[in-house]
Amino acid sequence: MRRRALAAGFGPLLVMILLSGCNSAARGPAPDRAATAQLTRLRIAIDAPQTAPCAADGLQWPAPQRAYVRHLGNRMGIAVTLCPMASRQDAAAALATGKIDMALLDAESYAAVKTSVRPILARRQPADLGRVEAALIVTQGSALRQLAASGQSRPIFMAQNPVVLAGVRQTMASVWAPALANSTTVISATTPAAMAALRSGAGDVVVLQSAQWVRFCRGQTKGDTPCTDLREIWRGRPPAAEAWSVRRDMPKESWARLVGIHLALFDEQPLIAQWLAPGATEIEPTEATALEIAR
Amino acid sequence: MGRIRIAVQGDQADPAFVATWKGYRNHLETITGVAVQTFQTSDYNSVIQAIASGQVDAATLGAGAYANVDAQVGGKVVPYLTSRQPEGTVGYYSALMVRSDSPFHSVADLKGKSIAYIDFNSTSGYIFPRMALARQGFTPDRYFGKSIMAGGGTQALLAVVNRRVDAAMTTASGGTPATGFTAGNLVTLARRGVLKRDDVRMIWTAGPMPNEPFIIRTDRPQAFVDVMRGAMAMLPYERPDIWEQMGQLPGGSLKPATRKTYEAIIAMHNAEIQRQRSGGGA
Repeated sequence: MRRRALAAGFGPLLVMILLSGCNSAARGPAPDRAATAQLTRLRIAIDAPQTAPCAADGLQWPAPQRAYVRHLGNRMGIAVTLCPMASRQDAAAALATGKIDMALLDAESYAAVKTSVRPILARRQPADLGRVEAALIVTQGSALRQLAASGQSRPIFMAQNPVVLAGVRQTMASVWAPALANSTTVISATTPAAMAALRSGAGDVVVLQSAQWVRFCRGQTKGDTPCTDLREIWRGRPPAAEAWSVRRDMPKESWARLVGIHLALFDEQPLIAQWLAPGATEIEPTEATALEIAR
Repeated sequence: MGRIRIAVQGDQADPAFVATWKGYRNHLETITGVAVQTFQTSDYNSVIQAIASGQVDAATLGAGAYANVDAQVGGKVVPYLTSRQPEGTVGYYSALMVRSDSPFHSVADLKGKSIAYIDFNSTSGYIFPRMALARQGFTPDRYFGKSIMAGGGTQALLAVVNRRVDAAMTTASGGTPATGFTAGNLVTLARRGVLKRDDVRMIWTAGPMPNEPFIIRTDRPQAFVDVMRGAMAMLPYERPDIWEQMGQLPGGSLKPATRKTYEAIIAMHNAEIQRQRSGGGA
């Protein structure tokens, strides 16, 4: 009993002592107070036969749609409305001009507004690997300097993980001719074997997942520098088919909050998630260029 | 909230450790406009007590350590994200290591020998592999002649290399037993020059077990939880430079997690506590 009382009494002190032994990092520069600005309302485009005024509810709305508006309103702490849009182009234009705040865009509708709009969220597809980030590697002496010039090259693929290889090929199919992306001329079993094949001239460019390249370059032992004679000329993912997009000047905290709420939807509100992202099992953040072909 | 306090469990033997979390802190400050303090330690118990007591708002730690927190405070602390490898996998393995020049080639060769575990709270270095060994008929407390808690994966491996023990339970990730591992205690230490990869041999693995959770106090505002989830999850896409500073790989990401993600580990942890209290062997 006494021991328990002591433990309770000294618990906070114990934690302070433990943490004082930790490397408590000094605060960084004074935070940017402008970053605390937040959205005051959230207007989201929704596909519809014809463009119409935004609304917070509708009698004909399916239950998950109504639940989405309520859920998002509660979690964002602001009024949320859905804005019927007859086309993705209409939605993109409304987004760019500040008439709405978020819209699901595809590459075509995004292209016209990309200076003021960016994607922030997309369905994760495929569910396991997502959009695989690939890298193109050449020798330091290679004349290949960029992706565009690699379209006529002899690729060396790396087959250590067949699932990853399929993902890498899919990525390359978004920027190369299909025959080249699916080439089976040179396939190496491991990253070191692929690089050896490159150095021997068996191919012009090694194509692999960017993570495989980074791991290889970290080396096996202290002082190991396996990449000094090699050069990365391109790294990229395939574009997302469509992505929820916002204006680039959206307050950062609101942006993060939107991402955080949507990521949790499949766990917290599966019916809403299935309505919002049919066929998916996860909504994930995206890079700013997710609706563009990486060049 | 006037400031955000985060405890991160790391490895102070890593020379990149200080740089690792600076970018992360700056990223969160930029997003939230609030000062962020990180408390970095390689000690499991410090992080467990800090998050369980509410002295910090969020933390990163191993699944087994989270199970310990869950046993102490239940739903007051929950996972909100977990990491995913570039290969799409969300788990890692325990790896039993011996000296390469030793006569040990399987667990069957280690009867009565000595073993180093990482820590009582370590998922891969204690909780999970002991359950797996017991299921295979090797009741650890009776099967091994002596066991020690090394305090970390580095120390456990060095205990083997220095002949202090015959075997060490360590962490292996970035692959599977079939594909081989590209990350974990051995890979990291070999890269740092602490030991050579062929100094030791892997003779047994167990897993996969779920990757480490990012956990958060549920008595903080929901908006804080949502912002933290979003700010962290966007890192690999938005700030790949910071993501790599944190020791992560391009193509890796964070995915949502809940208590359910760790139910099996929590059950193992609770069974282990029960075993210790009852004085039984496992």
